[in-house]
Amino acid sequence: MCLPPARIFCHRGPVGRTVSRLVCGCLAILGAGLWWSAGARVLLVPSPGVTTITAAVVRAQSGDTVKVDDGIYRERVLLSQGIVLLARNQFGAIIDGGGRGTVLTLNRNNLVCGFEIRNGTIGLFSNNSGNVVKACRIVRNWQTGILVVRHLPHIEDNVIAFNRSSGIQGWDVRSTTSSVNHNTIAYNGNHGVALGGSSTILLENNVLAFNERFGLKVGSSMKDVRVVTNNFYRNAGQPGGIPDGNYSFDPAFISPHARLDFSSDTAHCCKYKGADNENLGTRLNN
Amino acid sequence: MLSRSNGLYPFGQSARSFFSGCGLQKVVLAFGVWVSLLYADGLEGEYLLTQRWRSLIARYSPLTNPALLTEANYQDVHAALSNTLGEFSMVELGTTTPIGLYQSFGASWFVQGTEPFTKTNEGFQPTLETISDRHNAFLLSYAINPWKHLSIGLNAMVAYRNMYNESQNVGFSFDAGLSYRLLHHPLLGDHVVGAAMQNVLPITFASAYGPAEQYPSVLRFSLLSSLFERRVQAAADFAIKDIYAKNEVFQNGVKALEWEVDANLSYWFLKLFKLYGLLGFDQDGLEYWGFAPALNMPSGFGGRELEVAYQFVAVNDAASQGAQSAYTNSFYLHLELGKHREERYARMMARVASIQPNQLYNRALTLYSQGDYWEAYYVFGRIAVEYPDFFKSDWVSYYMASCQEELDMRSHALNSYTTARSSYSKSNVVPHATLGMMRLHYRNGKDGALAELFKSINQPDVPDSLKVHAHYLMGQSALRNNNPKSAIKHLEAVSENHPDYLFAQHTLAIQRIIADSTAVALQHMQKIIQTPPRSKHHEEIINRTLVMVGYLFYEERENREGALSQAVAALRKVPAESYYYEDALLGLSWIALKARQWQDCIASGKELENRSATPNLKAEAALLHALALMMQNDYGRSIPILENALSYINDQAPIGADSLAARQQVYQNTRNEYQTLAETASQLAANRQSSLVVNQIDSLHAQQRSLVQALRSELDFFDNYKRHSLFSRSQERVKDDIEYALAQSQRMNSSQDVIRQQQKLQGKQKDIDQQIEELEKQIQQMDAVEPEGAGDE
Repeated sequence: MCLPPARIFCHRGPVGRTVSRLVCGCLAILGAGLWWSAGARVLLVPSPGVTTITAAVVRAQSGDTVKVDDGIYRERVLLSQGIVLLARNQFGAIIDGGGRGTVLTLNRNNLVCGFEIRNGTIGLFSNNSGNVVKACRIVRNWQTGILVVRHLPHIEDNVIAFNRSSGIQGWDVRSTTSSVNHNTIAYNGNHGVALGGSSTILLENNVLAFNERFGLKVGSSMKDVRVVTNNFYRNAGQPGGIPDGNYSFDPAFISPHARLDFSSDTAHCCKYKGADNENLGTRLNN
Repeated sequence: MLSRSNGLYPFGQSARSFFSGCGLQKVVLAFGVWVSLLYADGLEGEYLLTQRWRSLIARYSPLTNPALLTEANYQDVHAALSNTLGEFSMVELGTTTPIGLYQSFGASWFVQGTEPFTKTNEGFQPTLETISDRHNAFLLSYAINPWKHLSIGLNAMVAYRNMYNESQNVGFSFDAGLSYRLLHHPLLGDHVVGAAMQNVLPITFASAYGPAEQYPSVLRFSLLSSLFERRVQAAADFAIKDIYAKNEVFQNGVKALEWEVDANLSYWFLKLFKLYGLLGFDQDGLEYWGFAPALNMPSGFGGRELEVAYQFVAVNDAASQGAQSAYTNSFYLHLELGKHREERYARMMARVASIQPNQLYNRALTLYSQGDYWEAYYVFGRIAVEYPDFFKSDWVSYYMASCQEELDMRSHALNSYTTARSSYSKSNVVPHATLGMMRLHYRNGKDGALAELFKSINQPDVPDSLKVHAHYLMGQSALRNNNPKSAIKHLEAVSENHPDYLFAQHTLAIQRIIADSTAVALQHMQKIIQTPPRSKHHEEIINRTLVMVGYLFYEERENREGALSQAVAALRKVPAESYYYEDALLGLSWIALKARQWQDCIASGKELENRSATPNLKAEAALLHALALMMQNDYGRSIPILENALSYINDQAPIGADSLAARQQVYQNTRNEYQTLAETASQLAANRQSSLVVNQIDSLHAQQRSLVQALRSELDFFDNYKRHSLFSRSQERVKDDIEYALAQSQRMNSSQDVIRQQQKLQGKQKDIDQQIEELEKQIQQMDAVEPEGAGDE
């Protein structure tokens, strides 16, 4: 079974729900052939004999797409190389880690798009190159939202919130072709983004707000972290102040606590734009 | 219960036995009665297990429930010090260490005791002995989160009791606990519940005054809550006490379980100040109330907690119908140290994933920093081939290019830098690679490409040090293109603390000399000389500057007073181990000649001639030596020296236009050969390093070394041929001067011979004239004597 062209998804979702442009973005990446090669299959979850994401992943080969219907999937998923994991509807598919362990572990050249990933010790773990985490909501994990070592996945348009420790924790993590771009990283129990070791990343156009400790904590030196046009708001006092070229203003989230709605009330915020002239933080519609 | 009914002492029935045995001062007895109201529990060690004296650290303490240690994310130190009436003190000092994501280990020390007081005899008369009752307990704890939200924990305690110096006991006990993370909700907050059995296996102390005493067993249920991003925190405990207590310790010989509830609620203002409210109940109603102000400012402590608090508790005495109340004071410290649990875990994962490539990478970096670029290149290459996912693959790619640059494999280095830039477009490596390309374009004379790259490096997110180096290259390039204005602008952008500062100032000085602004040039040179060197290269540029200063003053000798002495002062600062020492000697020799300091000139010339390996310099040194002799009219000694100088020049093959072209061709051929070798080297680096490949690399290295030597020899030749640095001059000019001086010496030497002959002849003539005169005088004398004799005949 083949995936329909991306543009069809961009107009109307398969179950009649409007799919955000970000999910379209995921599909566009597929269409561009970065992950999707000729002969690649699309495995649906659920489908006959496949009730869990893990079951589909076991059947999938590099280049295949696992497309997941709405529902709560209480499992911990370990992706194999080159697999695309796609939620049919934005946040409709929820991977629940059951309170312990790493909910989703990426391998290499994986794309994960549109999921809610929650209730693990760690929401998502990545230590290989070529991964993309896009348009996901990574919330309510007992430690870290995203834990990355070595290679930074491209992390874009995600909501990373209400994790008991940091939103993103990295060690020896490096941007070579990727960045942390347009994410909303808020209300985490430790830092918004914490980096240790010899980490060098690019952090741009994000909202880092209301985290209990620092918006950005860098282990040794800030000089290797490029922090451009982010909004640091109401975290604990940032050591050395907010980095130059960044902002601090109320992102005016509409309903973060009750509905996990991190879209901004544009009447009360967003006077500053990102380097790409778009609003800061995630560009998802809730 | 016993203590309630009898109003006895905080440390149990043994105290009662003891007091009845020997008797103490009445004051102490009264104290004991009153204090028992405060502690109000009676059984040995029971107060230790209550919460109110340590309420604020109860959530971090394994004594409350060992399973709760899994909630600790940092290495923490927690301490409580409680004092009642200045006579009784309680101490808890503990530390917790997180292990991995799911485990924790803790160690704690508890003290429960009285202040020392004077013992009395049986007649209640004070004795000289001071006594106290003191319990020390050591606790080791372990907790693990084995399944979903559930954690389990275990304490092992060793307690030591020293009771009024009368008896010492040691006992052991165990606690067990469970905790469950009930809820983690954006709106409803975080809630953890726990259940612990304290003293599952209770400590039992033998008593000299009655039956053995047991620490009480307590079943404790806890709830820890945080709301509104931890601005509000609450803790509540419900404890059922004295579970294993025997009937005989109760008043009527009938066991009656007691219970108590402890609760506290705190609010955190401005992430700085905290205020706690405390309440305690038991089966008799309100047991105590209290409050505690605290200071906690994680933003000033690297995001970790540093909380200090003071707690005041008023104990309501139900037993005395509220007639009396007592107060306790507690001081708290809670300190988080080191790295967060998640950070430790991330570090561990990074290390596990990178042990082998990390080792190789470090080895390659060491080789690189030692200047062994060939070896470093292949170690980096090995990482690139065997560990393509190494997290520093961008830097591996960069260093491979840099090694190629250092090995003078220019076109390959350029390609490799280009690949590094395009493959890792968002990496920090990009500006470094761009700079590498700029260096290569500069060396290849591609000034257009250099300017194009400068635009991409002169961006806000590029580190200043790289931009400054780029300015330096642009300055040099502008100077090469006779654009002094642009050169000055770029070179002046090199700030004082940048490693290129001295070089930039040096170039600026040269530019000013070319523009005839000697005074400004001297200012630049002064800056160089005054800057402390940070590397060998800096030392050498300073030495070169000193030679330049010497030269400038030498040239200014006509216009500037004392110029020659300043020149000498500068040149004498050049150390003998410097590359520029020979230039300094040459300068000193010339200056001495101009200053008519013949002996200095000779000494410098001799030293230079002996020291230098360069025929040109040797010849010039000998020339200076000879000139000094000539100036003293010592033409005879100057001739062999000049002949020797000429032989230095003549021993070199004569260099004509044809031979120069031939040497150029040799150089070009060697470079082409080197280019081919670079291609092979590059292909080998892209292979997995089998023993065959390693052998090929080794044999290629031998070729590489010999080609580099050949290239250097050609470059040295052209350097010497074109030598026109400061004091030294070209080969032709030196040769002309030697030949002229030799001719002059020979001529002067010949003239001196004729004069000497003439002088000799004149001397001889003088002698002859003198002899003739003397003879004439003798003849005249003889003539005067002869006529007197003739008249007698």
